[in-house]
Amino acid sequence: MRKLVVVLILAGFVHGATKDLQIAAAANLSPVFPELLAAFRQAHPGISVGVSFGASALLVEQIRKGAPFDVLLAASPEYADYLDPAIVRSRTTFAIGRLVLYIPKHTGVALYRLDTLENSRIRKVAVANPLHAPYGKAAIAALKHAGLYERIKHKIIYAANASQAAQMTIHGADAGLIPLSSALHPALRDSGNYWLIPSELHPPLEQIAVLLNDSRPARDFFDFLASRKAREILSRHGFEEQ
Amino acid sequence: MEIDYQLERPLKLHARLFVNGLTVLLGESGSGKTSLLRAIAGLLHARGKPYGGLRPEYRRIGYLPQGYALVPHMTALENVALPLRGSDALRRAHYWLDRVGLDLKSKRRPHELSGGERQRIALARALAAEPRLLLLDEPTSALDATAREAAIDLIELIVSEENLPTLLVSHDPYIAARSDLLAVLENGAVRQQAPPHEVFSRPASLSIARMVGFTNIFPGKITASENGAVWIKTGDLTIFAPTESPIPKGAHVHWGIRPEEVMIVRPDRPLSAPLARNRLQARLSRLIKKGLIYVLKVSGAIDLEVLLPRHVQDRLQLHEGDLLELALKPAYIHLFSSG
Amino acid sequence: MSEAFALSFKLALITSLTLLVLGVPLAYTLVFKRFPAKPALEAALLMPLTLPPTVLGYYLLLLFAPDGALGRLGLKWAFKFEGIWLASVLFSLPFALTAYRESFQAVDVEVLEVTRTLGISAVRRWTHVIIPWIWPGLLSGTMLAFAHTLGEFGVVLMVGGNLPGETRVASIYIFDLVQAMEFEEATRASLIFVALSFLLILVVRTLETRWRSITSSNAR
Repeated sequence: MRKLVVVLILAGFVHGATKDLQIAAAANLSPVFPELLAAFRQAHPGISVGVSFGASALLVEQIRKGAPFDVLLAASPEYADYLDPAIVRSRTTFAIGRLVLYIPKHTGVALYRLDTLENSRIRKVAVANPLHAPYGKAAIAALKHAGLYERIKHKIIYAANASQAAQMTIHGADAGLIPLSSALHPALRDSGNYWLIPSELHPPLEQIAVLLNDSRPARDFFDFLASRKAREILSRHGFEEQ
Repeated sequence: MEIDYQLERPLKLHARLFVNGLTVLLGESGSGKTSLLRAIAGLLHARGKPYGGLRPEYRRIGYLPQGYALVPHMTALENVALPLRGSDALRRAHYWLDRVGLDLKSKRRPHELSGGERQRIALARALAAEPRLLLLDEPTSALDATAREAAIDLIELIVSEENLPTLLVSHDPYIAARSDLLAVLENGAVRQQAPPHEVFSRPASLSIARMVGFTNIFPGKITASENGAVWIKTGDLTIFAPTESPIPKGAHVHWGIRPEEVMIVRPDRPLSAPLARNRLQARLSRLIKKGLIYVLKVSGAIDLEVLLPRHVQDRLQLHEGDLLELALKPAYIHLFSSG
Repeated sequence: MSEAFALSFKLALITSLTLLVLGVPLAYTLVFKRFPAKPALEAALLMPLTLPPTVLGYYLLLLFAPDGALGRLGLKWAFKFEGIWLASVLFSLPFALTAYRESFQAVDVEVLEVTRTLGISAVRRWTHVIIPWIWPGLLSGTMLAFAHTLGEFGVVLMVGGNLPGETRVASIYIFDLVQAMEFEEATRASLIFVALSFLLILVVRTLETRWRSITSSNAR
């Protein structure tokens, strides 16, 4: 009986740990976040940070339903418009994302522009869900612009978000339209090739940061995103400057 | 004590009876005797006295269901001690176990005991709670003949030693015969209540007669009546029978005599005047041995069932096909009220 | 990783204890009492068995959002531990309830009736008769609910979001790792999970066998 009480008390302590800073980040940022966070922590030690990744639309929905995030990083400005203006303290574009066509080596197809997708060896193409993820929307726009959509749409398999699209690409799909940051991830970098899709073919993937809570740690992070250190890290992971 | 209970579910019932000493409630299966018992115990919704709508926990009754309902994970002693509180609870439990003769098996669990033993433990448990009324539901139905005998002996002993009014429900006429008072439940009410020998020899209705093993029942018409007696004609036979209340000539009645009370006339012993009446000739059509009793089926002017103890048959040496003369002593003849 | 597992354990523990407190009286009522609404009540309680976890989670999210029916009453439990605790209780209730019901059904109702006529208090009836009769069954049912809660994903994700330290349980954590392509860590965490689940089920089965041997040796 006494053992039970001890366990219960310990369990209570686990709950006590609420983070100082809660960030909602679009899934395509997951490859760059570990480094960003490490740099942020170095500059601002002692702050506990929690990050939740997901498709931009999903994160906005959660925030509308009361999810306690302090900062939102979305892969496109349009979803942020759905937020109640009263809770948007500040808003800025901190980077531009790029879309690539990635083909894993095991597909055995030489990569040459978007038309490669018509190759019969490519049976499944992973794309983020265009309804929820800006990268998905961009991918479909690019395909339509290149006149390929109708011809290859039957090959498309949808992932919940941009980073899941990358994961699906190396776990069963033959190709994927994924973020550049994911293609540069160690898991993909040496296992395949990518082709940068011209940014004219799709709406810009403006990475925006929204400040939802005026707390000290939140402001610190918001400002950190504009710092030189952050920009340097972002560019190494395939993000371009505004 | 007086019992007056009305039930609506699971069947309609209004039973009024007295419980005095060992009272047996006799009834056929489905007549509602178990329901009545459960109602008195408080386990079934009913109106009545005593107890009214009192919760079972507050009624000072001991209830023994057909399955005995011992707690399987407790020993015999623990079961008996269940209703007891206080420092001397175990001592009292031992006392009651000893009263039913099972103190030596106090550490056994129910699955290690025989049916009869389990019943005795359940009885001890009910008695340990010191009830003012004991309710027993078919306590002997699941037992073999020896265990049945032991059980009813024990119950009789306890009832008299404790002076505990006990209502025992049964469909077994043998148990009914052992009671101090017998009540018959039929058609939703108690139709007759009297000491057993009276119910057995003078059942109040044909259906009660059937229940108590009264098998020789015949329809007839009153041909004449005198002071305290009537003459009944059944087929070719005219029977003389005493009656308490006068019955008009021409009325249709039912009369009967218990198989045990049919007399076989012996040629060497002349009969006195009353027996000279109600004589008939009959042929022995079947002779069946049932244990220490012989069942004779005879056919003549009427067909009768006769029960003979073994020693009588040994003496008479009857065989199937024999022609017999029978006498029906008027005192043993019972007239049934309509139906 | 330890944060996620600790959260999973905490959720499973609190959920199964809640189920024990709620489920035992419920199971008792369903087995021994009769009332007109009973079939409807049973159906409602067992519904999560056939309902997709995401559907259940979705409706709970709507209820607990600040503008939801319960959120407006002050129960703003979306994206909080309380929210996933309630979701887990509802979702695992059918499992626990079925196990508890089976335990109670092994109790002879005639015995319970007789204990009433013996004038035994309700407390004594529970402590001396009922609990000793069924406790291994109750324990195994509770552990089953524990194991089931450990593995939950859809409901927790819907109602809780994915907040580290608050609602990011181990199952969601592993999913996150795979999406972020941290495959080594994902493999490690998954193996731990498999080992834990196996151990739990082993304990449940051992208890079950022990319970069956007790009740069968008591059978008349």
